[in-house]
Amino acid sequence: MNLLKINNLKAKINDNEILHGINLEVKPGEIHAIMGPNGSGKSTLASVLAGKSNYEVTEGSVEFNGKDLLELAPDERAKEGLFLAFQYPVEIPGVSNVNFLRTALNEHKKYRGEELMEAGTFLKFVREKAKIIQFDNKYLTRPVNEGFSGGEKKKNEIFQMAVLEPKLAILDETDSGLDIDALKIVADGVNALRNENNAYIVITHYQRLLNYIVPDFVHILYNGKIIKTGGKELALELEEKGYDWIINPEN
Amino acid sequence: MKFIESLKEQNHNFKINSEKLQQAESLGLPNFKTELWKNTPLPRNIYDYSIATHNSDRNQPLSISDVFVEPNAEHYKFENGFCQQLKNQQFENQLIENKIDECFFAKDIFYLLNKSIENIANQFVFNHKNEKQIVRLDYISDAANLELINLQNNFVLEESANAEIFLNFIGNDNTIQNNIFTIIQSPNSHLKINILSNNKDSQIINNFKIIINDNAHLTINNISLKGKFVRNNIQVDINGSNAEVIANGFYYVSENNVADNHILMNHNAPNSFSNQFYKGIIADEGRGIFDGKIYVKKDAQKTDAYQTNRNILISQDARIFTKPALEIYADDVKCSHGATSGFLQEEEIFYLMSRGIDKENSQKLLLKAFANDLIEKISNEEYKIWLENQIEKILE
Repeated sequence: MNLLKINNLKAKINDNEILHGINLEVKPGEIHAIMGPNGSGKSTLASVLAGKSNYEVTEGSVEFNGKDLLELAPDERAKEGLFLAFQYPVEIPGVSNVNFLRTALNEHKKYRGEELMEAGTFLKFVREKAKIIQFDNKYLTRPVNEGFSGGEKKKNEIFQMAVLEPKLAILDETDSGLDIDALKIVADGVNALRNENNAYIVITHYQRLLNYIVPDFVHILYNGKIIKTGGKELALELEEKGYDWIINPEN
Repeated sequence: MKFIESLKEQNHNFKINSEKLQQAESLGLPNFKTELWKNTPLPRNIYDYSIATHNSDRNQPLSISDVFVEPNAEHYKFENGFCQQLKNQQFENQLIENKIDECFFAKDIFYLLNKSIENIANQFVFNHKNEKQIVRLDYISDAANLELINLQNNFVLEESANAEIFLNFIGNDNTIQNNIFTIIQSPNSHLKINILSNNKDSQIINNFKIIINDNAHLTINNISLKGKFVRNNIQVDINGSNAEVIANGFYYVSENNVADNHILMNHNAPNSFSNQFYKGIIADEGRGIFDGKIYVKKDAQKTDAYQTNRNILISQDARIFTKPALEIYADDVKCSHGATSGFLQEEEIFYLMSRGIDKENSQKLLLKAFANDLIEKISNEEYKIWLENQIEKILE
């Protein structure tokens, strides 16, 4: 059964259509990579799926976990098990990472009708999660992303993902701005959290990340449409030949 | 103006300085052309307020609630301007009188009016060395008729004294409190002043004139969470070197209330530090006014002086008037000022929502964080927690 089914999705921002009909199916346990040149609509797709309000869906449907995703508010999407790791995580001064995450996790638990987590139990729980993804405990009590380096912010996204345990995580250029060590830590985190019940959509410019997070499928997004789908070897081919041979096959 | 007329009459125990009263009368009430009041609408029916006397009617005495109870504090209660505990200690205010009148609000009708009454001052002297003295003063005004209540309190810190003062303003909407606080800090003294307006009907005009000397440390935590009309004029004269002033402020303004802070930080001597950090949340049709100035005299070299004012408006009808200012005559100083005003950031709300927190709670979380960023500067741990809880209640 599909976890996510995107059918002919079209979306615009300020009367400017960016997505021109996306089709994509994701099953539990799968990793999908979405690659494509700048401006092809990769981040728009991520934002539309997460429910950012400045995009307007004009056509198509998205089914997630058996529900009409487009009918849900962003927080409901999250509570249904969707997670977006932001390309540019937002700094929130005055809110500590743990308080923020405890509030969020308890909202998830409320939604599922589960018992809420006490502060003490939660702290133990997040420490374990931090350990799995090698996230330094010192960041737990600091305000969300405030004064974090680019790499720390990206690690914090993965940490939040570890705590919220989503069914589908979309990593929006999580590798951008990371050095090779940070990249490896982020990838190790994703691999450690991976199982047969959850799925990932990895949006990236570079094949490099896909050495560490090995995709089952690679999709090429160009001009608001998926124009080619292949296995992990497609990413290697792109690395070698660029996008032009796919975009203009007659050349 | 009924309050002027009622002072001219003879049926009270006040000793009147008729010259000052005359000045107040000829000045008249401020209007939108008066620089210090141009964005501040006066309390309604201000013409109809008379002056409170010892025998003010109190139909519904206000109880003291919603104040922070510091267990170690000496506690004084002022009711409609008078304190039973100190009734034999009222005297004429002679505290370096001339210097005190050098303040930016000296030509203000409310200040002049108050100063035209010469025998209402109470004085608190702090002289313990190596021991912190804590005082809590509750200013309660609950007259049954429209009354303007004048009060003068002096605080004197002797050399090396260490004090913390809690000033709680609690009033009904029949009354306007018109207060003058004069504070002198001797060398090496430490003072924390906690100003709190946390009563929904209060109408308060506070005038603070503070003089600090060498190596003195002053912290002002100026918080107004509730109140119909709250105006604070605060002037700090830093007359010594190696002195430090931390001026924190937070205001939450709702309904059609007004919170107004006018601050002047005068650096008159070299090598001193000051930091003004004010934050505000304006809701409904509330109006916030921040007018802050750093003034650095020519001889006040090596001054470090900073000022920040940040505002969040949470309604389309909320208004903020902010005016940060620097006036610097020395050439070797570090000074900065800045102000921001705006709505909550959509990106921040979306970020929180994308983690599963609904819109309303995301906004609350962000507002709480905005406030706590200031409140966490308060070093009295219990008071800080108490304030955080008060703010949480307000945002509910």
